[in-house]
Amino acid sequence: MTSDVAVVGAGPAGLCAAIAAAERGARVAVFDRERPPGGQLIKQTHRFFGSAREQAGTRGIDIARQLGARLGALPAATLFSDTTVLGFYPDRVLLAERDDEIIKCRAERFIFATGAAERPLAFPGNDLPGIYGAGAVQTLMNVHGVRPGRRVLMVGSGNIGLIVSYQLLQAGVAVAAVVEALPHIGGYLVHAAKIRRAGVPILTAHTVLEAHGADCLEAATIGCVKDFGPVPGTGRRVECDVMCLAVGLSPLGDLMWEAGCRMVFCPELGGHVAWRDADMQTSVPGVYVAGDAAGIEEASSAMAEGRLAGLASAASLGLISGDEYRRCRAEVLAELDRLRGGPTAQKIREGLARLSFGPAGGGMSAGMDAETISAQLLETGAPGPADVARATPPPGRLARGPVAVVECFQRIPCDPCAVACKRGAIAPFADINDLPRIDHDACDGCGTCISRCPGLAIFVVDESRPDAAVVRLPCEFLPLPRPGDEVSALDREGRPVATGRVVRVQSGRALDRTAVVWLEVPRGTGMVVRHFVAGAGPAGGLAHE
Amino acid sequence: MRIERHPIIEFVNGPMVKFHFEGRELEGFQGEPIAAALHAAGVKVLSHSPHLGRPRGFFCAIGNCSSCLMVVDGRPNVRVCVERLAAGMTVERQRGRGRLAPAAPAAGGEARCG
Repeated sequence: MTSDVAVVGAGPAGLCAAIAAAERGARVAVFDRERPPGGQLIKQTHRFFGSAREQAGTRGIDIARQLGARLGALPAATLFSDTTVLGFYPDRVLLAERDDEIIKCRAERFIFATGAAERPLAFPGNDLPGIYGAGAVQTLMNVHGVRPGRRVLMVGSGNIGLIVSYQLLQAGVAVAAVVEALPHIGGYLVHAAKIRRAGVPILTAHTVLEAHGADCLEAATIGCVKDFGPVPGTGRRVECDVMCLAVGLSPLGDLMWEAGCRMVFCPELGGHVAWRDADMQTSVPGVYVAGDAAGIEEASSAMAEGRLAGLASAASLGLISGDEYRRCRAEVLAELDRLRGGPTAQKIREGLARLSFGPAGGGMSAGMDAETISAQLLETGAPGPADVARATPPPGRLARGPVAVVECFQRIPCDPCAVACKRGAIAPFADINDLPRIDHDACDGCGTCISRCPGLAIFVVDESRPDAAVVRLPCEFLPLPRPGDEVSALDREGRPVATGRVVRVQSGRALDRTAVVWLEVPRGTGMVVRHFVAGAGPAGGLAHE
Repeated sequence: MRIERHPIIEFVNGPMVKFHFEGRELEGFQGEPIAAALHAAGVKVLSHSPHLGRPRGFFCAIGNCSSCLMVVDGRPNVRVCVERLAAGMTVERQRGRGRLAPAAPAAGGEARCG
């Protein structure tokens, strides 16, 4: 077979590349070894960060469906699912296998969006069944509906470790702890706060030292880390039947190596990546890269890179005029600059600089927001008194009636809250990495923003009643409580602090599976209670060991 | 080990089918990876390592790492994390590198090695 553009990989980058090229009239063949299309998106239950103008606020699983449908509606595009690309040949031929049959595809342009692989970690016993990649557990649980086990130790506090921990809780699996070798949390702090208030400890400066078990994992020894080495005498045993390794990803560059692309070692981007120009074209003319295969980043950047590679390949085939392409390219590059502009993307900027073209635009604030984020939040994932003080509405406002409390302390590329607020109480963002600025006097406590915040970091607190406070909490766990239920009200660290009574549960279609639970709690605890569980306390954690 | 209700995801499964594992009859959803069906049935040990005979489970679950090689219907080195379950399959733990059955003359065209 022949096509204008051959895309390898139907994840966020590959799908966006294929759609962009096919929309411009290129005949596109997309090869993916899985089914359905979407790559890792089909496992992501959380709403995406990024710009509300793009796809922020939409869950990954839904983005996968939308992109798959868009591709399916394009007559110029053909998706080959369950098809594994085996090799790239210098005469511009891809070889693929499907159902034990070989497919040969000759194309003018190639876009390699092959994604990444999870890294292992070396420690005694690391080969025991029960020790899995965090993404593997995500696949088992969120695609195939199978629980990995009963009690999980998560290794790594990057976004994958934090997100999968939360997803384990959603699937009804206890998480004993998250350990992180670095002295601070690696992923977004709003993801960390979600599992902390559900009672999962995050132990920074800790790592796994050994796994125990005869035939399968039964327990692990964890210990403190200092200067990248274990601290003697700090080991302690954690009972667990599953351990998830979320210790980073490596770009899958096999096809790029095979094609003879110039490869550059960029540890900040996950390892060897293909050098490419600002159009995502590698050193081999006509061969493009996009997504994690081009350097480990967030899915939102992968989608933008894919779009750029798709547009560039179509433009190089003469399907887009030069002016039109330059306009489109500037738009995508500006979006990438915004996504990469915040402090959490510092490493990515350094890696791209190694490829000698970093983001062109501004917003290049460096560092970890150390000026504004408390050490407690960075080290444990639970906002500390100083963070909470900054989010707390003035006392007079709290006493006057319901008001939104925005507990978003880290500059990440995300803006759906400002778009969600119909009263203009949350100011529009000048830069997508801005922290939300809320005018508590303009806020009427309607609560629309609660289920719109991808980080589930907005709550509504009402301390106006003389007898009790009411907090409205986002809830993505089953079973949902019913009005009248008594529950254990938890603080930001998952500690039971009071008995709460459910007064209302909002779970309509507009909330898109993020219910809002109205909880009546003792007066004065409205700024303390941030989660709840039926019964006495959370199931995870290390408390009983 | 199956998730019955999930707050976000609706699982759409194929029909429940029977398959054979080491002399036992197990059930799983047609079309799901064999490893998922085994895991749901509580089977985590999928093979034993070639040299030390250590138990092996899956690791990546997307067909990258080859930690989950099993013998399926007599065929060794099948990555069961991506091989789909079909009714009546016979699945066995693999010991060592696995051995291919002699090529049947009618099979023709299939690559043979090792």
